[in-house]
Amino acid sequence: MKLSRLFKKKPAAPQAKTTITRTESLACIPEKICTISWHKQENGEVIIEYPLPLKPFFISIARRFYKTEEPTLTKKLQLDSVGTKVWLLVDGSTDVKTIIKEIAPWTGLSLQEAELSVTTFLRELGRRGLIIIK
Amino acid sequence: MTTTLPCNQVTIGWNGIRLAVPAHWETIVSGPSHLIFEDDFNPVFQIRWKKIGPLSPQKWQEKCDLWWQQLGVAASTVKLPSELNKLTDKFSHTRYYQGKQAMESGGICYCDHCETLFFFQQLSADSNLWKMTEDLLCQLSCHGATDTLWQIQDFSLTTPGQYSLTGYTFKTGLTRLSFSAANYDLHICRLAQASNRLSTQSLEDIHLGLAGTKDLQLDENKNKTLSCGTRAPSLTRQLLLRLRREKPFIESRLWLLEDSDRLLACIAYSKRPIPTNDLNLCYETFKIV
Repeated sequence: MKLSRLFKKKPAAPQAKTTITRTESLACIPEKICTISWHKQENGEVIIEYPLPLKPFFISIARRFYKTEEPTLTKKLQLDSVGTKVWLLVDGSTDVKTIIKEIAPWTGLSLQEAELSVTTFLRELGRRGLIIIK
Repeated sequence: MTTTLPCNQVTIGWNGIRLAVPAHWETIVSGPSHLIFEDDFNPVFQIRWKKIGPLSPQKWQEKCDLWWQQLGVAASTVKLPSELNKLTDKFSHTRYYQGKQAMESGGICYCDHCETLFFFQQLSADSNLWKMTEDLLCQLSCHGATDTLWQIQDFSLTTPGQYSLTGYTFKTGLTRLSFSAANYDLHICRLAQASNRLSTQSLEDIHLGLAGTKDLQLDENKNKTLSCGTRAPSLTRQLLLRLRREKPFIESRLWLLEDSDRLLACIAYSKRPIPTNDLNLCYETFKIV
């Protein structure tokens, strides 16, 4: 047996590729993850604190140093005024389309510009594991 | 050419054509000659156009079928629906295709006068769309104007007919259209949230940033709402800039529209001195509507 076979990763099972149209994606409802904490600052801007996902290898190293209790590593994300407005609109019942319609006149952007801005922001929040899309 | 439109319609001008569309439709630029219209974020209608030169009537039908196939929509040709009969008065050739689903229907029209081919597709099953399609295509203006109107979203601009579009972007807060004229390249920019930008940057900094150079001679008005820039370098400097593959001459203008909270800019780059009058039409017609 070749050694390389031992280290060769198994090919991932083919996943059914689901394509979602733009209209469908705009009808999706974003919702905050309940495990993350956030608060409003005095200037009205929101700070989100969320746990940092660590790889099991690093967790096992951390366990060796902290025998009593492992510290939970968190990361903070400060949102600007537009981000704060979008974050507050993410309430688990408002769809992306409505968020865009709210943001466009508030920022003075056109609907097309607001769509690009909001969807990019929501994608980034999703990538960090701060929201889920229903 | 000015026409009075019903209050529920707006004029859209893009790359040689002018259309009157319902005011609640959002226009999306999908390509230099491709517009998609949306109603509440749902695409309802799309139009593409292409100048193809003289068309032989004998080859019209087979060419049409080929063009339609290239669009990737499975549909077969049918008689022009009675709702669209008026199109035959305006266009010399028309052909209609009907797909299995209502959204796969559309047609091809050819204007003999400007030798332009139009592809239209109805993307919604709404019964009102027939009337809108007919109105839209019958009011379509594709020839006869010496200047080109660019009117989309909230801005309007008229350029001389010889300007050709070389690029565009509709990013958040920044819209840019780039044109190529005989002697120079012209960039038209619209910046949103002007008050936000001006709270962190001066008009001068924004102007230099848009022009992409620091050696621009700027002249601001007292109210700090208009900034005019020029660069007319000496012969040696021209040589140096040409070695860097930069166009030595720049003529630019950036102005603030306080009512609409927008900054508008026209920047022209050229290898030769730019006559100020050349850009007057753009300065005068570039506005927020």
